Amino acid sequence: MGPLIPLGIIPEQWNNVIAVLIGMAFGFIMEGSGFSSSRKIVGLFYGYDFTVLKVFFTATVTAAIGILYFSYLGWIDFSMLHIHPTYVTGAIVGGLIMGVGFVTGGFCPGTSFCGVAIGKIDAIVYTIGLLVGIFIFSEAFSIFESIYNGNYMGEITITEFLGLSPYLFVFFFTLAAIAIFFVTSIIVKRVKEVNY
Amino acid sequence: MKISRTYLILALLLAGLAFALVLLPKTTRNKEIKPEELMTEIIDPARFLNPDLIAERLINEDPSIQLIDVRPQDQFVKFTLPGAINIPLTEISKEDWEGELNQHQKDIILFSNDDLFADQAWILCTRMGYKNIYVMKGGLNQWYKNIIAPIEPPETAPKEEFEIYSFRKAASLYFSGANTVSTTGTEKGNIVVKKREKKATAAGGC
Repeated sequence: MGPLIPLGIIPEQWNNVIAVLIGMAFGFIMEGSGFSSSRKIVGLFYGYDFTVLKVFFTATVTAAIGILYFSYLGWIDFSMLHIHPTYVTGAIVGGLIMGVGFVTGGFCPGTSFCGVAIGKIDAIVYTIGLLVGIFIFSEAFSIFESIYNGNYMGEITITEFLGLSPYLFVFFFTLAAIAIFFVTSIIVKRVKEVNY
Repeated sequence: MKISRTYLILALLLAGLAFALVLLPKTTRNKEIKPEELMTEIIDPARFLNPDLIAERLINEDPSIQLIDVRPQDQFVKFTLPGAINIPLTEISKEDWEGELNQHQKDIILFSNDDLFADQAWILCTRMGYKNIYVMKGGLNQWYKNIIAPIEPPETAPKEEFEIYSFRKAASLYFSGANTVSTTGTEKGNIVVKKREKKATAAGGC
C-alpha cells in the first residue's frame, strides 16, 4: 500500500502541496508546544525545561513504532523509504556547530522560522544569521568539501550497523525514552523554578 | 513523588506497544507471489504466443509490445528480432532490469532459441509478480519455420491454412528482405484465362 507517493497512489504532482501542508501543521504544533520561545528551547541545556527533549523523543518513538507496525501489516514497503545517508565527519562537526548555535541563539532552524512567524525579533536576527551562514558555506564549499563528504557510510540504519533486530532496538529505545521522561520530570521539580 | 495518572497510562501504552513488536511472530515478507498462485499461472498456457501473432503485431508496428531476447549476448549480437532487447536469462532477476520488466503498459514477449529458456525466464518474472509477460511459442526455431521459411500446405489443406501461408510468405518478405525465391509463378503460369463467352441476348420474342 505505502509509501503513497512513490507507488503512485497519490500523484507525484501533489508531493510539494502535501509537503507545504505538513510543514504548516509542523509549525503550528511547534508553536503550540512553545518552541517559538528561545528560553524554553535552551531550558534543555540549562536543565529547567525539557519540553524539547520530550516532544522530539515522543515523535521519534511514535514514528518508529508506527512504521514497524505498518511494515509488519504490509501497509508500507520498508525498502522504499528514504534513509538519509550517513556522513560521520559531517555529522560530528555539524552537530557540534549546531549545538553551540542552538544554545547561544536559542533556536534550531525550524523553530527560528516559527519565531519569525509570530514576530520575535531575536528569531528574525537568528534567521538572517542562518541565511548568511548558508551563503558562506555555499560559496566556500570547496574548502569544506572534505569535511562534508568525510567518512561516508551510505544509507545505513543503526540496527543494520549494530546488527540488531529493529523490533528489539525500538523496544529498548522506548524504555529509555520513558526513563528519560521520568528522570527529567524529577530534575525539573528539583531545580529552582524559572519564569519566562 | 507523585506521577500523574495520564502520564503513567500513556507511558505504559507506549511500552506495551513496543513490547508487542518484540513478541510478534516474525515472518519474512516476500516480494514474490505465493507458490499456489505461481502454480495456477504455470499451468495456464495463455502465456504462449504464436510467432505468427507476434509477426503480425511487429508488421503493424504495434507500440504496445516489447520483445526480449533471453539468449546470451553473443547470440543476440549475431541475430535477433527487430526491436528486441537483450536480457540474458542469467541476469533477468537483477535489479537493473526491473524497470524494463515490471510495468503495466506493454506486453513483454520473451524468446530464446526454443521456448525452454524463455519459459524459465517467464517463471522468474512471474514469481516476482511482474504482469503482462508472454513467451514466444517454439522460440526462434519456430519463428524460422513459420515466418522465414514457411512450407506450403498440401493441396488438400483447408482454406485457412492457405491464408496463413500467404500471410507467412508476406511476413517472410517483410522480415528477411526481398530474397525469397518464388516458386508458385512458374507452376501456375500456364493457366490460360478463358474469356467467358457473351451470352446471346434473347433475340426476338413473341
